[in-house]
Amino acid sequence: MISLIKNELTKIFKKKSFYIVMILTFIFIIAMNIILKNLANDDGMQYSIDYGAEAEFYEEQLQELDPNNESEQEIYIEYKTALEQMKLFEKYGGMSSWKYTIINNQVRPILFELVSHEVKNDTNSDVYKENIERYNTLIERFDKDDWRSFAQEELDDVNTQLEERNKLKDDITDKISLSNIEYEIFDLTLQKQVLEWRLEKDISYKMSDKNTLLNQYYTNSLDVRNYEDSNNQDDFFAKEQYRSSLELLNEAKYDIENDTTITNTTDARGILLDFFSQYEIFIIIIIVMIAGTIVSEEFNKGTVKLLLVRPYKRTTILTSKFITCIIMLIVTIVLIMTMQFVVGGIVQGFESLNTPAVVYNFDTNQMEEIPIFTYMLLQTLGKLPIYILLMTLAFALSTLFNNSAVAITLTLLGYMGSPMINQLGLYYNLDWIRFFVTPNWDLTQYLYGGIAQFEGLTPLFSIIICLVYFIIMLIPTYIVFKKRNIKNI
Amino acid sequence: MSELILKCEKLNKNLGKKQILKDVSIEVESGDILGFIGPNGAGKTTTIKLILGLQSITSGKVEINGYDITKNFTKAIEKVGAIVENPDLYMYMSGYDNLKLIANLYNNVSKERIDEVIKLVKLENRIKDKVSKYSLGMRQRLGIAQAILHRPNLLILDEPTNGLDPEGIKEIRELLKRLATKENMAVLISSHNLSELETFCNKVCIIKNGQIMETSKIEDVKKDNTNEILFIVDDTYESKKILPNINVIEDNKFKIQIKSNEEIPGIVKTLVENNIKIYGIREEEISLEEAFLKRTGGNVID
Repeated sequence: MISLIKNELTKIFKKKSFYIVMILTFIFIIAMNIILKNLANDDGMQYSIDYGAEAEFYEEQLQELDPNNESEQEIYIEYKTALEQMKLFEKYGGMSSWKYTIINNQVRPILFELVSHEVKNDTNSDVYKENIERYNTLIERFDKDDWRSFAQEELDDVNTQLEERNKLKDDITDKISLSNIEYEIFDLTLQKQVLEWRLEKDISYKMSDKNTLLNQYYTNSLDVRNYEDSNNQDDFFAKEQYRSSLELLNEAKYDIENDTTITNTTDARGILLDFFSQYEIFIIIIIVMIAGTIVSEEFNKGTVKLLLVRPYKRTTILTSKFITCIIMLIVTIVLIMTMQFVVGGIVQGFESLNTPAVVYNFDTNQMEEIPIFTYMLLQTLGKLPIYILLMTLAFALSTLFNNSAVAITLTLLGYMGSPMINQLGLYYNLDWIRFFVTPNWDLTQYLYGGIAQFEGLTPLFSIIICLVYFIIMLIPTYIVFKKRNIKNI
Repeated sequence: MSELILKCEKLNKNLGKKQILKDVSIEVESGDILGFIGPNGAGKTTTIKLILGLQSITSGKVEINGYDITKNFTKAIEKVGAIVENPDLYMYMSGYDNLKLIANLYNNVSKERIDEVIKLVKLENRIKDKVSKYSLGMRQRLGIAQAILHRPNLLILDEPTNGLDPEGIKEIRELLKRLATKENMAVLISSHNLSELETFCNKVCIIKNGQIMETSKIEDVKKDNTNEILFIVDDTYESKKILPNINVIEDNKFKIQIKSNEEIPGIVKTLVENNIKIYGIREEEISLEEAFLKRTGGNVID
């Protein structure tokens, strides 16, 4: 048996096809790493807007409008405010500056007030003067480049609001109002947390990954709260959404608190951890190619006669071929993984790989640190059923129909169709779909307290379903191979 | 005392409703070289495939070295070497790699044995080349090499001379002759051409339409193969009257079968006495093929 397996491996490694696909994969991996590296480096580039041109556009529009005409006044004010805003953006460097957010949130309302008053010739009022004053102080602070004062101001504001709400809360007995105020308090506490982080971790308003994380934490925390408050907790999609929010908010929290970038998917570590979604198709193509030809090619080229007149049972020969496929699957995964490890390290540097994998565990409700190697091993083991089942399908088809093309095409179609089957099942709420293989074969869905896409699936159930399909495919394969007559050419 | 190596008993093979083999029985003893002759489509390859367990047997029994091929396949096939149809080897590998793959499957094949076999089939110069670059004759020789690698006591060759030019056929024949003596194997060799085999087979088996027409030892065939003498005379019509057992070919030619040359003077005397002029007397050699034709009463090569 061992010498049979050795021979099968020799046959595969003496063929060019394996190397060709491997080289193509290698080229793809290099390209992927370079592209992702460049994407990570020029964040925000695609947002660069020519504010000067924008300003000119509004100016042109304004010339055609009459501020004294009642019907056009409103739009005139709107455009004029926009024009002033664009001018500020142009002056302070637009989106790449921390002032962008402040201009949007704080300066714009003042500008609007000012413009309104000017258009209505109401420049003597106290409100106008007050606004002018506020505007000037804001610009003064802009020139000092002091974003912390803004954050501090915001924080103070939030704190006072929070105090107010807490006081109010004690006097409320009405249930609905109580829950409303509690929600407000929750929202304010979140804002407070974000602002405290902002000050503590020195995260300016400028567009940055950290800023995105703050935002991610805030919005997802609200989503989680909304779900917990809702009376729709059994809805599957809502639940899924909730779990995803829970994960995202915890990841953001971890990154902010620890000054890490575990959510970064474009560095060497990120691509490696994302390995299976990135390179799965290559693993499948290679393994299906091997499993889909290993039997039928020998029949088609007549070499099977050379193999069958040896002192081995036919079942032994077929088993050795199947075991060879499994060995090749593992070799392929390890090879591609190593390639990504090395290429990712060379292109983007190995430093990021020092950070362990960090995942949110739904059972313990905590972030869990896992060494990268262990994480990859668990992922691989969880994904193995997919590959083994697809491989078995190709193997069975190639043995039953003696046709490599049919075996490879049908298997790849099945792989591509599997998400569609799952979607259909979810969409039409088909209960029996859980007896189908595709919702069950990805065991990584159960890792770290995860739940399956479909209700009622457990790891044990999934493993049993996978085994049943596995055996159902292999039995006819063995019977046919054992009984097959070698036809005369 | 030679032992029985291959024994086929009343092999039948049906494909659908069509009966392809009908009661085929073959026996091969050690030291035998059995020529298995039949026209295309007679069932030669099918018989060989049944013997090797490559196709299922409808009824009947195949025993190799005392083991039943269906019940005890691995034991039965252990000491068999074979080429079926074409020597289909792994084209993308070198000849040597092909032999190594085969050698891995047996315990008793050493590296020295591989080299020995390569020398035997005279492939030493090209053994490192890819098989796809080999000529058909070289592939046949490599096929024979893989078949004898594990020192089988039964070698089964299906049309080893198919598609070869006369030079190649001669080469293969020499090789097989050398092997049969050197490796001391029983050989079953099939062909659609009897004349290719007659010089080195000691047994011949003729199959036609799935049935064995004739199995005999070459010596037997040769033994009762009577000589034929061709007479050229002026009047065969008159000759026929005198000698009723002659075989008239043309107006002035007839053939007569004799047991020994001592009969010739008597025939001549009879003809002369009856005033028939004799222009020539020639001894006609009959080939094995013609002898068989005569015995089976049909045309072997369809």
